[in-house]
This record gives sequence, structure tokens and C-alpha cells, in this order.
Amino acid sequence: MLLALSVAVVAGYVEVYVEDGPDLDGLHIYTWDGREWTPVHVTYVPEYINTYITAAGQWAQMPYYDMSRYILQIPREALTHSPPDTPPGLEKWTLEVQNGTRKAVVELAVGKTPITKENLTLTTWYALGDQPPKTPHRGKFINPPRSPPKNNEAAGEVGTTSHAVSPGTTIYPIGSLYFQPVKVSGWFNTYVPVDTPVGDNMMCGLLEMHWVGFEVQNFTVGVKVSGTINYGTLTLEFYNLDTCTLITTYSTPLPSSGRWTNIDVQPPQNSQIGIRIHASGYAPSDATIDVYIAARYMKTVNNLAQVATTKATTDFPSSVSSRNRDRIALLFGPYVAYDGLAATAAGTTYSYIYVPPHSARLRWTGQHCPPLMVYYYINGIAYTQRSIAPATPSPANGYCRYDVSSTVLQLWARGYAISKTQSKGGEITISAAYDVRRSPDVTISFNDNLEIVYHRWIEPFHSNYIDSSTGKPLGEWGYELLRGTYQVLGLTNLNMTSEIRISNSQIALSLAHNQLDPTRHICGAEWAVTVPVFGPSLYYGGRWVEEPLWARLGRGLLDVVGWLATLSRSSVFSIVVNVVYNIFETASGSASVDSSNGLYIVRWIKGWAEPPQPTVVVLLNPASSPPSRHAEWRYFREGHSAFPWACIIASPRDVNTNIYLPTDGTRQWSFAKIWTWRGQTSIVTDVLTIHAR
Amino acid sequence: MSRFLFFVSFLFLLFFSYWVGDGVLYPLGAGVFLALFYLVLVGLVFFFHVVPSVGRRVLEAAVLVGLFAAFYIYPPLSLTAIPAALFVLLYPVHLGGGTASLKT
Repeated sequence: MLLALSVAVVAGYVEVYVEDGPDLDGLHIYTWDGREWTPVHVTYVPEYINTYITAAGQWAQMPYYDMSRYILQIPREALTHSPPDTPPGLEKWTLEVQNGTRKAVVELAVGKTPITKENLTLTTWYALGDQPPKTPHRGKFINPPRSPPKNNEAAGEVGTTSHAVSPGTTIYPIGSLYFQPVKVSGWFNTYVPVDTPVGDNMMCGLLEMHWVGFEVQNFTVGVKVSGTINYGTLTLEFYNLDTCTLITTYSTPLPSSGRWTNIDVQPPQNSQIGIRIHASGYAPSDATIDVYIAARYMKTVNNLAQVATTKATTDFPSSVSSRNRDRIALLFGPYVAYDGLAATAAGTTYSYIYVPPHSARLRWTGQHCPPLMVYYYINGIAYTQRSIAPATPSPANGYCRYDVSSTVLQLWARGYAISKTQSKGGEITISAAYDVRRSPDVTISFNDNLEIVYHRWIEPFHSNYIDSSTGKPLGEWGYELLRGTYQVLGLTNLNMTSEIRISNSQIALSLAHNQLDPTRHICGAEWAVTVPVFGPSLYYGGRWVEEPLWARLGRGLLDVVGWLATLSRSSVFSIVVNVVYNIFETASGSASVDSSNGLYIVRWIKGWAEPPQPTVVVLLNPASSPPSRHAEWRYFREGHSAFPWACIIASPRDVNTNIYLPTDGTRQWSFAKIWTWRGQTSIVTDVLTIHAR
Repeated sequence: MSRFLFFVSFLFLLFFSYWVGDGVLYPLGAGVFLALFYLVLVGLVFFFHVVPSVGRRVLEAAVLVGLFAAFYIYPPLSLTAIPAALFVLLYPVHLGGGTASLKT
């Protein structure tokens, strides 16, 4: 056992590469370094696959993780020291480490409860690696305490009916807490600033307090350190905001790079929780610390108005071709990962991902067509795989054809939470990879678009909250909540996000997009909803759109001319006057509402004298007493500029998602929670800032 | 020639109106519409006669399009669309009247 293994690449550590290892999700792992138990950090190893990014129309090498291949960072001394008894609450795992012909055995202590040392919690940090393993050390668990879970067995296809939330359901929503990056140098001792759009960051008299809310279960904390930090410590301070008392603190050594960990604290369920993050240490030169937190809650759905629906889609090109590649993948996304994804206790979610039927055509020189393996990944993490039989047993005209039937996948809470710990707000991507065996000619053809639909918890209250004015569980707190979102990723790098926010007093339809080329941009949009609305007003990036003076003057002059036209009763006169009137009328942006058969069509058209607008908001007044608390968002369509001729409105895109309207009431709520679950709760004026999430 | 001018510009006008369809006309579109409309009117006024200086009439239509295109560069210039509209409406009538007086 006492073999002298070479010094690792990382000073003081040996990097051990494990293949087909057990799932380490949520575990803390320790090894004995001769003096104490030391955490073993885990870096998942990617497989890079040539990937066609559908929204960009470009190929790129993208990393994919099956989560069973990872590098364990083990202190060098652990290879030469036998540990004492495993600490209570932890299991003993044995890892065989091999370097060529030399072998060593390392004993690990593994469990869900971390070891504490004085005030520090010794946390195992996880990371998504960005390169294949270079270490010569190979590891193998020789007595895996549980069978290695196959990632692709955990969930296969899901029924299309399982994605909907119903009243009475207990859900585990996942949301983000938002902090700003903090720059440090020299000895530092600072609180990480809260990222609040209104600058309000004080609660209970304490600065940089982030409101978290009721019924908090646990946290996944991601930390990214850019630069070098020594003796770094990260401390999470949990407060009861109802009593303004400190509940507990969680201090852990600061990781050296982008990593995440799960933190279980037991905050009181019926109190508002706040969190402050403190960072300290020494930075020899300028360094930046980013902290991202995904918080998991437990909520009971009392009313469907507490739940919103998010939908996203990608337009697919008719076909994608590839030559001489072993494996190729198609990537859909990235989509916005809106906060509040409704998960279950088992880690599945109320969502579905529809991967449309498609066909693959491979040039093949063999006598028999082999089956085609298709692998599905969500957020780069392996989900499931399928073996597709060829349409004909032998090649026809030198080609094997495969008809890949449609499939329905589901988001996993784990991948979603990991994504939220890697960057602000996170993202969702869907990939399908194909083993194409270096075929000289591969074509994959789709005839439909991929779609994602998921349900989100949108209100920040306690499950048992009852609005005193209405006696109903859902309160009206004067802020508009995000009740419907639709993201379209199109060809030519089009990224378009439309959101519907609703309160009792206002409805806001918004559009953000990236098509700003003067010769080819989004010049209009149309929303079809069943919410009775009237009185539209238009805003660009929070600024009310005003008609220019010269356009007003022109319209006034034409009114006079039009009056003459009335006298002349000439239709020729009217046509010409109307065309010119149209020039003045369309100089600045306009918003209008038409209704027919209970469908309300809201239309925005950009003014020709305006530059392309990246963010557009149409504010509307709802009918005082809508006929139903249930509404639908039927379709959305955008206008493309046929510059400089006209704005041509495209064909409708089916949205067909439900919107449940809030119950009546006038109760106002705390100002504090507007920056939590950003994009879902927002004050009236801030609703115009549609980029914020 | 006048009938040819009328039918061709009328056909283009119909096609253009159909193409714009549900959308909104911007100045250049309006300029093209008015230029075609001007040629239709000229063709109509001189349907049974000879259009005087056909080349010049087509040039006037082209200038109209150019003028409307210039609105994008300096939007307040679009106020000139009002006299341009009067020109489109009245100049064919004026041309028709002038020709008629020459004939008499």
C-alpha cells in the first residue's frame, strides 16, 4: 500500500481520474492527510463533441458530462497515511489509485453531512471541468457503497401530462439570489453586495442583506474566483427577518476557481429569511469573487395564479450536414432559465421538452446498416440515450436512413440548479448527439421546432398566506408578476424574448431582441391574448414614446387637406391623403388593441423615423372585472423590416399557454423582495426594465 | 403609350398593395405607391390621347421616390410629402387641362 506515487500536477495534491464512478451529487468527501480529515474536491470531466448550435448556425466543440467521470483532488499525504476511524455520520469508501503498475489504496469518508473544524465547515466543492484528464493516476472504487447510478436510467421519456401543476400540489421551486461581483486586493474583509435594481439593500439595519423568503429548504452555492486568493473564507450569515436575529452562519474555505456546493441549513419555515455573504482573505493581486446562489423552497399551490408558464422554442434549419466526424451533436438554446422552476421532491420538474421527429441519413459502405445511437443532454449533462434501428437493413443507394421518432424529455432540478451556480440567472440548453461513425456524408433533417414548457412558482409568499382583504391565498401586492414568457431562438442568431406581466391594475407586454441591423430588424410585434385590455401606451427601454413635433404638425396640416377632400368627396383624393397621413402616423412607434370573439390582439409597430429598438414594452389597462380568472396567450408574431419599404408581420407562432389572473384585492406588500426572483416580482416602474432577471 | 403606362403602373400598384398586405407602409413604400399612383393618374387622364413628354413624367415619378427616400436621412423633410401629394393629385389634371387648351 505504501507505494511512492509521483508528485501530482497540483502542488500538494494528487489528481485521480475516476471513470464510471458512483454519482457524488450532494455528498461531502474527505480523506485523511496524516493530521486531519481534508475535503476532496471533485471536477467532472467533459467529453467534447462537435456541436451544431442551431440558433447560431455554427459548429463548435462543446463539453458534455455524464457525471460518472471525474477527477478527485486528493492530498498527497493521503496516499501514505492510514486514517483513524471514519467520523460518525460518514461512510467509509475505498478508492484504489493506480499509476502504471503502482497501486495505492485511499480511504475516504463520505456523507451528506459535512465535517466542521472550529468555525469552518469543510465543504466538498464541485466543478464542471473544461479539459480531459491529464493526470496519470487512475482511480476505481473497489467497494462502491451503492451501485453507480446510470444517468440515463433515472428518467427516460416522460408522459406529456405529467408536466402540469395542479392546486394542492406541493412543489419545490428553485430560484436565484442575485449578488454583484466583488473586486478585492490585499487583505480583504467585505460583504458581497446584493444586486438590487432599486439600490435598497438594507434590512434589519444591516447592509447587503438579500431577502430569501419563507419555507426555504436548502441552497446550492456557486463561487467563481478570478485571480488568486490565499486564506480565503466565505461566510453565509442566515437571519430571521421577522425577529432580526442571526439564525446561523456557515463558513467555508473559499474555492480556488468556479465551483459549487450544496448547503443544508434548517431555517425556520414560517419566518422570512435573509442572507448576507461575507468574504475575507488575501489577494496578492486584483481578484474578483462572484457568488451565485440557487435557493430551493417548498410551497403548496393553493391557486393556479401562483404558477406561471414559460415556453421556449428554436426554429430549426431544414437540414444539417457533417462529414467524417465520429460523433456530432445539435444544440438548442441557450434559453433563459427563469426563476421558480417547479421541481418535485425527487428532483424531477413540472416541465416537458418536445424533441420533434427527425431523420438522419448516413453514407455507409458496409453491407448492413448499423443502429444509430442518439444521446440526449440537458444543460450538457447526460439525460438518456436511444438506439435507432435503420429504416432498411442494408444501405439504399449507399445511404442508411434512420427515422428518429419524437421524444419528450424533462428538465432536472439538479442540472437547472448547477446552471444557476455557474452564471447569473443560469441557462437551459438541450442537445442531441449522434454516433455517426466517421460517415463521409451525414444529413440530419427536422421538419418541426423543438419546444420547452415549464411551470414556475411566481409569488414570494408563504404557502399559508391568506390575503386579508379577499380571504384568498393569492394576494395582490401592487407589483406586476411575470405570468407568461416566450423565447424564440431563430436562424440568423435571432434571440427574442417576450414576457407578460400582470397585476390587478396593469398588464405589461414586453419584447427584447437582438435584431438591430438597420436593414434587417424587428419592427413590430403582435400578441394575441384572451385578457380583456384597452388603452395601450408604448415605452422603449422605460422611456415613453412621444410623437415628434414635425409629425404632429404634418398630421394637423393633413387634417385640413383631408377636410377639403371631404368636400370634394373624391376617393382618389382620400387615398393619396391617407398614404401621406400614414407617413406621419408611422414616424414614431405605435401600439394598438383590436378585439374579436374574445381575442385581444395587441400590436406594436416601430416608427420609421426611430432607430431599431432592442426593448419594447406595451402597458395596458385590464378590464375592471374580467369575465374569467383564466386567460390564454394564444400566439405571438413579430414584424420584420423590409427596409426601407415597409414592416411586414410574420406568421403567428403558437404559444398556447395559460395565464391565471390574480384574485381581487388591494393589499400592498413589502418593498424588500423585488430583487429576489428577478423577472418575476417587480415594481410597476421597473417592469420596463425587461432585461433584468 | 398612355394605355400601356396606365395598365403597367396600375398592375404594379396592385401588386405592391398586395405585397404590403397586413403591414405598414414606410416612406419609401409610400413614395413608390404615390409615384405609381401618379403614373396611373397620368395614364388615366391621357387614356385616349398621347402622354406629353412620357420620359419626363417617369422622371417626375422617380424624383418622388427619391424625395420620400430622403425622409430617412432627415425625417422632418417628410413635411414636403404634403405638397408632393398635391402634386400627384393636381399635376395630371393640370397637364390634361393644358393639353386640352392647346387642342382647342
